[in-house]
Amino acid sequence: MSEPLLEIEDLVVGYRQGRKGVVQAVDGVSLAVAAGAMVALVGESGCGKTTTAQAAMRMAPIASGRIRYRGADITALGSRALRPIRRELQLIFQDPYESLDPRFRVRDTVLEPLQIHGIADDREGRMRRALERAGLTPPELYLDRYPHELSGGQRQRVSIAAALALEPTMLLADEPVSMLDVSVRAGILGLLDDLRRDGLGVLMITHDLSTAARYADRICVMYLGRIVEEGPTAEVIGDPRHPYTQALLSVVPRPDPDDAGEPRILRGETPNPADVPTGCRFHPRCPVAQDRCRTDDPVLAPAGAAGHRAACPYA
Amino acid sequence: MSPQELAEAIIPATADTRRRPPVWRFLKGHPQAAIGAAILIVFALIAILGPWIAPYGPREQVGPIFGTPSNPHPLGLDDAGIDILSLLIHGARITLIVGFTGALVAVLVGGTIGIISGYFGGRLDNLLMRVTDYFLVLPDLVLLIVVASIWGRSLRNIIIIIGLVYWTFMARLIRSQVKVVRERAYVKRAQALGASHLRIILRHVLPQVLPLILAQTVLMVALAIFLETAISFLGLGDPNAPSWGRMIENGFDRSAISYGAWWAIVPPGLAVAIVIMAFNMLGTAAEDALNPRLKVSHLLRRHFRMRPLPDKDAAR
Ligand SMILES: Nc1ncnc2c1ncn2[C@@H]1O[C@H](COP(=O)(O)OP(=O)(O)OP(=O)(O)O)[C@@H](O)[C@H]1O
Ligand code: SF4
Ligand SMILES: [Mg+2]
Repeated sequence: MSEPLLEIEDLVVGYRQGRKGVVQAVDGVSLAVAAGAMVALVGESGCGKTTTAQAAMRMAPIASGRIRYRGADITALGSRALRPIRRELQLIFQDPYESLDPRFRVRDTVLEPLQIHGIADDREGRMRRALERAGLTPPELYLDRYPHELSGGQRQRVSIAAALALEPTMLLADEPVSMLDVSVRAGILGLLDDLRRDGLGVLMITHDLSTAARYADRICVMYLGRIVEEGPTAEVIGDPRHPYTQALLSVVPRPDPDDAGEPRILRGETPNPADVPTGCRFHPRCPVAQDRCRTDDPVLAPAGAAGHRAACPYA
Repeated sequence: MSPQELAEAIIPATADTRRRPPVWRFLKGHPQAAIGAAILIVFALIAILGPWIAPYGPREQVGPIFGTPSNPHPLGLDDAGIDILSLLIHGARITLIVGFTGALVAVLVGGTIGIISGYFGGRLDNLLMRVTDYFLVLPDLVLLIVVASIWGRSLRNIIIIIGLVYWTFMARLIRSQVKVVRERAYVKRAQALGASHLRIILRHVLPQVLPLILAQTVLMVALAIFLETAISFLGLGDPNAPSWGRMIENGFDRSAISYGAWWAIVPPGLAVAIVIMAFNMLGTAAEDALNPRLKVSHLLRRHFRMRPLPDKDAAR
């Protein structure tokens, strides 16, 4: 694997909540994405996926940890110094109904990044190429439309085109299809896959393990602000080690019904980052929890094949 | 392209390509706005054309003291024998100018502070809102009496007082709107792209709150005219500018009532009431049309109720 483009190291993000508390939305996450690779960050709602991506974009309050881009530490860069980075790192938002300014025509939305970064030469050409690359062909058909005149899938393509206009090296896609019709999801995911093949690094956030299994090279499974299992896709899917990953996988429909194991339905409530359990944070819901799990907080440790790690001593 | 995508490409998601109803459609759908607008156009024309259409000058004695309404003077004469109709026409210009500029000061100051406070949030927001609160609890009447007696009685000072009294409403309202817009994903997207705060405010936030600001400005003009009338009635108006409020004050001051000269008080009172009502109708309808959930027209009503000044009776 080549030199990573984006590295996140021991990231901790805390949001102030009310007067007293701080919610540790992300609590020690590390991951790396290389050019031409797609890494999937998988986890249930509220586990801190969006916060991780926003912190990587320096849009969330980082309490500790490092963000590196092409080896350079960008954790503490001021907004001026961040500008060139913002040209290369692009965030794609979950909700294409919300992420496009309703007053902007497609043309204006795709031109805006070029204006922001003062790119004057061949704006029109760049804009058209970006739209074409995002699958909106011919661009003329879309240029003068407002977001409300586009379907959800088209809107997400406009959003991607706006990101591509700056010819970035890395995309962070935050659940890019979860708000879309099932029928257009594959198209958008295929587009991201093509971009990855063209050499972009992609961090794909999803709560759907089967999407991750289909497109990603590596999978990071996140639970309550931490990565509890990570490794090459084939490893994590074929030989899941953490009980949480196993539970997630057991509810994914499989092509071969005979192959399906018992679905493991997780007990307990969806976790609350304001109230993290002691010991292993998964223990209240873990089907195989031991006494020690209440007190000992496991760290990621090698499990199974090379590059595969899980945060459970019983993995 | 899949057939699905092809279909999507050819058929726009919604047939309606118009984004916002044009002004006439708004007026058509809101009769009260249309009536308000019509009334205001008439008064605006009177204000603009005043010097040319007024039969007499604003200081010209043309008949007896408190001369009764009769043929050449349909609204009678005042305590100095000046034609009331002419005074009314000249006063329209002064009253409307004070109303508009006062509202403009309030909107510019309040809007700027509201946008900065709402957009940046945090400590700056706390600080600005604390300042706003101080102004909000300051009794308007005390403020304006103090300011008028320190700075003197002039139109400019009245405009400043109006701005001082009303910018807080505007600041709070705009702040709460901007706080909502700031959290929109498209604002976050612009931030992620590296857009400057100024750019985000001007290109994404302001256009979103502008219609509301405009609707509020209209309501604010009504408040400003009301306040100008009140200030004048208290004898703190500009002695050289015969606004409607000054006419009412003058009428009371020169005991028009004991002379039975109702015509010295009722016409300017009615004019104030009609103009305020017209602005109110237009502004409330605009507010309704723009954002059914967020309103401040109740502030206007409460404001009038809370401060029943003597001229209100005359204005009826
Ligand atoms: N701006 C914020 N202020 C306070 N708390 C926040 C903020 N953003 C997120 N949180 C909290 O941080 C936690 C993680 O949120 P985050 O949005 O990162 O989760 P997520 O994994 O992206 O979830 P989803 O799948 O629902 O998008 C949540 O408990 C959320 O309530
Ligand atoms: S450490 Fe214990 S509670 Fe945590 S996942 Fe492993 S077995 Fe379950
Ligand atoms: Mg999210």
